[in-house]
Amino acid sequence: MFRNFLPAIVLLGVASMPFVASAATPFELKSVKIDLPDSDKMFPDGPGSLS
Amino acid sequence: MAEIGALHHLITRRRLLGAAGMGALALTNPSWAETTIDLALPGGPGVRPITTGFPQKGPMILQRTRPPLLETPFEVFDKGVFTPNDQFYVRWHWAVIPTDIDIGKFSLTVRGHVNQTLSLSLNDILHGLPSVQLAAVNQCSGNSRGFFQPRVPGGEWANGAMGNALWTGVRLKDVLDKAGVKSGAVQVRFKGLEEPVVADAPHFMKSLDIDHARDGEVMIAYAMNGEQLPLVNGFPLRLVVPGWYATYWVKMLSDIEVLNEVDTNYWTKVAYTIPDTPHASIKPGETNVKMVPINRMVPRSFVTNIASGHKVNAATPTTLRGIAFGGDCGVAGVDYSIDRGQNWRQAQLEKDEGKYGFRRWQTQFTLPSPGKYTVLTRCTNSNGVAQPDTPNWNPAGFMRNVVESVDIVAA
Repeated sequence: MFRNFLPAIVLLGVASMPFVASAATPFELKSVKIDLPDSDKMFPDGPGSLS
Repeated sequence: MAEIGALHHLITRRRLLGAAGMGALALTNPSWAETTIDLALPGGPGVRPITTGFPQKGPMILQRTRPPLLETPFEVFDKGVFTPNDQFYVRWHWAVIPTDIDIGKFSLTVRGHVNQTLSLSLNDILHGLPSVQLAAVNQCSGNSRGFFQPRVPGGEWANGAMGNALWTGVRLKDVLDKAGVKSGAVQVRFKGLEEPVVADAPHFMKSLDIDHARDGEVMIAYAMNGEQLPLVNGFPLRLVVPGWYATYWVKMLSDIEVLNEVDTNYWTKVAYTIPDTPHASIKPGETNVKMVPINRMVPRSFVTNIASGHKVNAATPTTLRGIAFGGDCGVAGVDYSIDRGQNWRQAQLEKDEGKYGFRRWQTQFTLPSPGKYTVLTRCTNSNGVAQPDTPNWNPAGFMRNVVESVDIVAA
């Protein structure tokens, strides 16, 4: 019985599958502008400092 | 049971103030640093600010402001096999970094010993060449330098100058083929947009042998973990050299030069060299050692869910979990020991995301009775190379990969 319906089930499955390849959105980049934090602290304090 | 997420000696600002004195901290922390962490570096001092002050980045350990050196807090590695972009570590060599990248104006030049000089737009790269993906660990040559004894100069990283990402981009080979490499090419040199702070200082450039550059694995990435790179991680293009230390992964890649002779620039010939000895190791003070450019990574493994000093229940199963990577090849196995290395047992490896990436592992162990224990972990890679029992030493603090230990107390 199940065999009789198998082709229809397969067809239904294929028809409902997303078109992964064609539907995939091409990767796009966006321009970036940021401000980096500033500090006069260039390096961690050396041995012997309190911190 | 002490299975915890927050690891590695995170201490609150209040506790630090009590220990160090309010005046000292107020003077040493930038205003945008929020809390602190003690990295427990044997040479001290190990306290660093945690900052959220860098755009596109989450909480990071501030090692240096300019050029930025930002370390990944170690508890991040327990959350998944891929390191999130906003907590991926950052390391620059020069302080002059573009902070405004217009994708319409950016171009990648391919020149030198080629048939045709190219100026590729980002559109040319994203849409004109086959796209490839690869999981790979990016690890600073000096990751864990802060644990070297005797101490060596450099960024005093703990273990968070590494990360694993799914990189998307194009094969370097395809780009080189588009330009047409001439016969007699020896190396390929890469330069990004960072600039020295003084005119005579050497531009940061790295080179790969021509066969390596054309092996089909080296890639030019425009995305990590499915998103464009954060600017401080190298936006818009970053070289990805799977299995090799991050010094070769040139950020903001803008210039590719095919050479017909061996590159002798400062960053290849002088900087980033290691002793040509087993484990790149010498005795402190040893001289007249042949040095060679640093190259392939070596295996490492870490416990990520239990930190030193934590308590577990004796005679009760405890979960042990972590990450490992094989270096220049895959992970064959991760072993652990609860008796300081007298006996080793195998941990279970989780899904393989690719031979160059992190591999998560886990196991359960039971400490038989109350007392102090040291848990060791050891990765063996698919080339049969295992982490050594004793730490290496070299004057630059490169390639640390000793068996890691975690001290725990069973109660």
